[in-house]
Amino acid sequence: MPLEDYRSLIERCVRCSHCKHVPYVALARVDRRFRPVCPSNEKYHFHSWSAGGRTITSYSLMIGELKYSPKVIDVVYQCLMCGACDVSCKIQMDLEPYEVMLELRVKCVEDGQIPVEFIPVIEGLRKDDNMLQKPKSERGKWAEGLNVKKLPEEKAEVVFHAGCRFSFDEGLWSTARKALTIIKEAGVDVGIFGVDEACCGGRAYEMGYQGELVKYMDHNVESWRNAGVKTVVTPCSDCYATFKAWYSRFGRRVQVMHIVEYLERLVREGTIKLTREVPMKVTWHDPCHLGRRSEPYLYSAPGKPYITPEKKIMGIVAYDPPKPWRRGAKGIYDPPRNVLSSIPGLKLVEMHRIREYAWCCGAGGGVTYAYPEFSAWTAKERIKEARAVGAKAIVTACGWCERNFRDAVKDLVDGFEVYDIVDLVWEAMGR
Amino acid sequence: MSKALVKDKKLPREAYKALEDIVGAEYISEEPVVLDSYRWVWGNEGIFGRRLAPFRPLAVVLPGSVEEVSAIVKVCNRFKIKFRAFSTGFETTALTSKEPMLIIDLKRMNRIIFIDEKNRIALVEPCVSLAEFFYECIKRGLRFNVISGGPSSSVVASSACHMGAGFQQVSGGYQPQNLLAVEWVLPTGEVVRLGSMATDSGWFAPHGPGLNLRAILRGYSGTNGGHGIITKVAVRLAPWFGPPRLEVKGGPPIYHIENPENLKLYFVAFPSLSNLIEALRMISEEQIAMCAHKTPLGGISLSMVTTESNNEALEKMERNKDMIQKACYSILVLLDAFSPKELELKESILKKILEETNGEVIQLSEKERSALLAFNLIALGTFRESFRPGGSFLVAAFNDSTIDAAANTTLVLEDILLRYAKEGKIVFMPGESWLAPIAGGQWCHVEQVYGYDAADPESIKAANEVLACSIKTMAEKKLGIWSDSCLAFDDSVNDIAGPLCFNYHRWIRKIRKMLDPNLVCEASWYTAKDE
Ligand SMILES: Cc1cc2nc3c(=O)[nH]c(=O)nc-3n(C[C@H](O)[C@H](O)[C@H](O)COP(=O)(O)OP(=O)(O)OC[C@H]3O[C@@H](n4cnc5c(N)ncnc54)[C@H](O)[C@@H]3O)c2cc1C
Repeated sequence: MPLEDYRSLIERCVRCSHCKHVPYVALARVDRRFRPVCPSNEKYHFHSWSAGGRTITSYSLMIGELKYSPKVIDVVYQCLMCGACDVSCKIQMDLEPYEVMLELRVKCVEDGQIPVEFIPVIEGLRKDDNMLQKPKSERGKWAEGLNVKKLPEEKAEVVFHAGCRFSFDEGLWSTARKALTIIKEAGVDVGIFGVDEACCGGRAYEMGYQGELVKYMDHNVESWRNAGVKTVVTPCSDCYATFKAWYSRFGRRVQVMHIVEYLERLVREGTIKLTREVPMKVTWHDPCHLGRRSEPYLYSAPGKPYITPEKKIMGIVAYDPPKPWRRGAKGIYDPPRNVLSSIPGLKLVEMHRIREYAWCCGAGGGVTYAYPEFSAWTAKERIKEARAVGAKAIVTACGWCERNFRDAVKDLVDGFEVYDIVDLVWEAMGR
Repeated sequence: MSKALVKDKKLPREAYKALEDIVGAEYISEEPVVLDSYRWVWGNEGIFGRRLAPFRPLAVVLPGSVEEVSAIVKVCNRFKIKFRAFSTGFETTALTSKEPMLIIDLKRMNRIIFIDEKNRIALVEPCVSLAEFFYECIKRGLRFNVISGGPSSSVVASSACHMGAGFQQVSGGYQPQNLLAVEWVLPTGEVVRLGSMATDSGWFAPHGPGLNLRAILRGYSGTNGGHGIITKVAVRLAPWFGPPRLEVKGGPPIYHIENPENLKLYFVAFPSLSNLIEALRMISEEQIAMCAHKTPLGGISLSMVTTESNNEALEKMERNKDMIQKACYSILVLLDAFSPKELELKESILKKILEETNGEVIQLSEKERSALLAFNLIALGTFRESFRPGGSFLVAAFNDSTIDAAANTTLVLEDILLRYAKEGKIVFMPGESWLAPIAGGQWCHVEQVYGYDAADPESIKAANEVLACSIKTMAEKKLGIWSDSCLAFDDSVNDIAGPLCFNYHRWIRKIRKMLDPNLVCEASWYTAKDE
């Protein structure tokens, strides 16, 4: 989708800076210290480092008044693509700042204008089908000994898609194993692709590599179909948003559930019983990709995702047919909270920036590869917020968030824990 | 006509180095990609034919303290560098200039220094937004008028630099009336404190020993950065009778706000403008309401503010023709009271007024009520009505007068506006005008807003034609043309309005020269000409 197609939307950005802050009505429940919602703008200060700023950058590049430079690359890529800006903007405007930023990245990739740090990551992806530059042969290791169906050799109704992070980050293996065990023991007909699992393509896409997304989308959808899969379950929020939102952007609908949704269902139905006390004061971090970024595109044609023709009525710009806007309200926000509330002894305290206006963990948009210090800073800001509300641990449901948080709390002397929600459920199950 | 990029002008290296020494390398930039984001603002398309101005600023600098601001201004004087400061940079007058300038973005100066509950005074720095200020004030039983620039507009800019008419002015007064002592970095870099702070006696009063310089600081409509930099303002606060925190539920784009105790919103339609004016006058005189104003864009406000998208708004217009029609002559009233009993009393007074003026209370859905409550409390929704239709707006009639005179002004221009609206070139409906009585209703602010499509050259052209025609008509009929000057670029209105109004333009030029001997403040939105 060329950037040029967004031109009229770009030209209507008014530069109000709402994209930098928690939506102003929701601000009623937020302490003033936590008003900023855009990590990029908080860290780099100037307006260019905001959705509004990047909209202007897009325009200036498009009309040829701005030429690529290392600073342009910084402006484009020192952004976590967390999408908080998009939520705040669309409170009042019919604009698409996130789409514009994404298309700007696609253009940069096409023009060969990327941070050099991306090159080995993408080469690794192309060679080994993962975003961690690990040998493909090691992909299924995390599930060794679990005695679970192996697809595509066998068939299963549900595929458990671990994703790159859970597959290769040994520190997270136990979470993936627990998640799969819970599903299996609940009597679900589940299998894994193991060594044959491939990346979802979402992280590459958010770095601007549209071709990689389409390639993995086609591959995954085809593999699932061949293995008789009806539902994809994943513990990774990045994969979840990719299957649900990005694939739908390109016209593919996938029946996907995040493990959190599955857990909620199992708890609600009484299939799993949470009986053991977990005496802890925790806070829940809404991963961007589980929350605001996971809304599917409700209409799209392959390759023509989001622009419908404008028409003017009484001078007012509208869309024909009307466009179902994605505003972040329909993300997965309640299921994890319901699960945590079902754990005996556990006290859940909310941070200030939650749900659709949650502060990002810092791991998105390729920032971990090209600007690791920005990534770490963002995670530390989130940990500060968690501590400010009195939590002793942060719970989430995304391997990328967990890794970033774990690295961020490493140096804390007074101890602060990071959990995946699966780990707490496991504990509450008395396992 | 759209203008192409003029070759970049750079600061002398010595000047850049001097500025960098003041703020540190992290807080100054002259990178084209950074500068581009400071040459774009709504309204530019009317002046330059497109949103991106045809030249880049010289540099952008982000000071963190009054000392740094003062030092920057001194460097500007030393090197004769034109500059302008802003708080959020959202107003056209913040970023649009005649020539490349140094931009001083005050975003790092964002402290609420104190809120003195007993004396109802607060002291704030430039980048405190009206919404966050509102939430901090209500915790303490206080509030401050919000302007329709919306929740992100700053307390400082609206009080000391640019206009200041708002939604709650019928009760608490409007910004110029609530501005107390001020800290001001003069165009020379000297730091002065006005009002009671001139003798260091506290921030409580605008009047200091000797002359009250507030008129020079901001006058009627503000100097739009043409007179140095305001680094702190003290403001007077009004009482808030609602709860210390709004109960917000649900999700975007229209969050649900529980009805705050002791507050009640009314949306009232009238059969005619004269009935409406009478009701507004009586409500103002009775001092029963926290907000009372004519629904700013009438039917457009109702359909836009309470919906999630333009499509939904158009559907609403189609589905509820009758209600939209009624909204064209409607008012918004937010009653506030000390206690439920007092609220009852105020409601009965309102009922009586509406009986006398044939006002019809329109029932609102929960979503409409929440949206219009947010609109009145923190001006959330003003973009939906003015920017969402096409990305930009302009103001035809713009005036402060008695309620009657203000209303008459809008009638004069309505035909012109309707002519263009009929062709679909601008967004405007019959009866549309924002009439907002000020403190007790002796006088009233009026704005006749019309939208246009910032991405459509035809629409931009039409919007400009309407503006030119409005200014001409206002001048011919002597309808408060002077008010327009703060929205007019490059003396375009001053030169018309000045001769009609005691040659005020010549006076402000003299004052400017006195305060700014090197003419370093970029004053295109004040008066740029040298007398
Ligand atoms: C939809 C819409 C509706 C509006 N309605 C109203 C209205 O009802 N009433 C009203 O009064 N205004 C209105 N405005 C105009 C304007 O946005 C506001 O007046 C508001 O105060 C701007 O605040 P800001 O902090 O965004 O200003 P900025 O964009 O930061 O600045 C506004 C002007 O003040 C100057 N300035 C800002 N801060 C300083 C400082 N510290 N020192 C020196 N100069 C400074 C800037 O140079 C600029 O010229 C409206 C604007 C919009 C977009």
